[in-house]
Amino acid sequence: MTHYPDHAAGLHSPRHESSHALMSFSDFCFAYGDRPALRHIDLEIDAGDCVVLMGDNGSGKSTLLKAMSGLVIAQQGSYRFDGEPVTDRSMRDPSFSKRLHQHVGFIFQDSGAQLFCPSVVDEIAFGPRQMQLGEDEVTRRVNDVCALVGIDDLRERAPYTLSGGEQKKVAIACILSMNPDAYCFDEPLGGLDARTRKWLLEFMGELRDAGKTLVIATHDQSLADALADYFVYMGGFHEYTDKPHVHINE
Amino acid sequence: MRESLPSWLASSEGYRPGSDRDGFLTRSLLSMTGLLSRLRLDAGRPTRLSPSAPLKLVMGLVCILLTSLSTNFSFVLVMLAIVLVRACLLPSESLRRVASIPAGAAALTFVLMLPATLLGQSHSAALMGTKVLVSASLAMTVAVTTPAGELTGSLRAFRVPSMIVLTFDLAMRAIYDLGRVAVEMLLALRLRSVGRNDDKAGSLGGVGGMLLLRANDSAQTTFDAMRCRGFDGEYAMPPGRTWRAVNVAWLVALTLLVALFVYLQGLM
Repeated sequence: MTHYPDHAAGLHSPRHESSHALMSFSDFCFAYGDRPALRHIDLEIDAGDCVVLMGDNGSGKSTLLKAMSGLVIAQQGSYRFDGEPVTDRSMRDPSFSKRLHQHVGFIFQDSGAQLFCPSVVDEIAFGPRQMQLGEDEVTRRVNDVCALVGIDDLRERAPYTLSGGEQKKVAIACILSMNPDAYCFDEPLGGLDARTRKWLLEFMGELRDAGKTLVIATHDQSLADALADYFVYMGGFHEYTDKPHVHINE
Repeated sequence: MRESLPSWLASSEGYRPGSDRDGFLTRSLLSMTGLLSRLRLDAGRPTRLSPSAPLKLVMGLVCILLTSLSTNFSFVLVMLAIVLVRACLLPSESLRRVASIPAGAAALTFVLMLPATLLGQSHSAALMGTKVLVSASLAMTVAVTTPAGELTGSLRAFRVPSMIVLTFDLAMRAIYDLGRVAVEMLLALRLRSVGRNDDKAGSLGGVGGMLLLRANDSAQTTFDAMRCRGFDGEYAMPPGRTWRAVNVAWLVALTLLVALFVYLQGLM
């Protein structure tokens, strides 16, 4: 059994002490084999928050995002999404796990690994078709999202042939078309050119302003400063900031 | 000018998923992550008392050979005792691997030997089953206690050409890397499978196809990187440190085992 050495103090969303948490971690621990990745995480994220996770490589940022999506399950402690516990048992219930995955959109660091359909249009329509939306609604969503993300000219291309920045846009479009309430971005600006970075920053700002919950794991201070309502520093990472911040996984 | 958010995106979805059977995704993920955990390239760090990798390989092969050739049940039982003692010293994860595969192989042997047992040849059935159990356990023990790189590197001690060793190493790395990509893609498919999928085979086929394309890319990138670093078809590997003082003790133990084999065979 894995030993989790130190227990950090309980930490909560510094913005809304009393409101209802969308994501709630309590003494959450997870290890890959005998290597602890998350130790005694106490964290609450409210609906509409824009939270930026910062920390060195290996500090557990990506694992925490996976936990939010139910891809890793607490080995000790608990995680609740919208008040419902996310456990091995609940994730075995297809109705619950699919609802969680629809509510929490996850954009991987390696966007290329997220794309597996023959064309960009099929890729974007995959989620809405699964949700049994009518074909008219699917087409509307595909058109809206392509225009929004600026990939109209890529519609018939095979995702595999796209550049890294284009793949990132398509991956975001795929998640957008499912209209989740919360978005988890893992290193969203990694490998993007200046123009695409600027576009993505503005776009994430629009999502935040529309009331979506954003959780962004990044090393990029400019992104963090531009978007964050508050920071979550992981693995002993420290940075001077005027914004609210909490420390976890130290 | 960029479009603003459409109304459906600015509102909450209120979606309730219907029922669908997607156990295939969980099974694919589990089998892929299981394969990856078995392929851990850094597994089995040798301890101070471990023999060097080439000697460990030779000892494993000799022990399997002696077990296979032995017609004396006592010798096979001695080997079984050695295997069990070694297994007791393994960490729980390694122990599970060493125990599970050989146990399955032995069980299959017992089933295959069932007719012999019914015809009164129960001794042969027991001998065969135990031999399979011991041999498979020995092979698994060598595998889980030796890092993959050292195992392939130990081939150099047997004058295997460096290019073949390099090919083994690259193949191991490629399998591991592609396995990780496969897990990522299956996770992505699972995350986006939020409802009813009428073309599950097509989705999995897409993942498989993308994996092939990425394997091709990875091979090309490795080749380019090797050329950039001066690779010209010859791969001269420095002689590794293959001899350790503790090897003497292990050689003595192996000699005693061979002597025991000869002695017990002579008693037959």
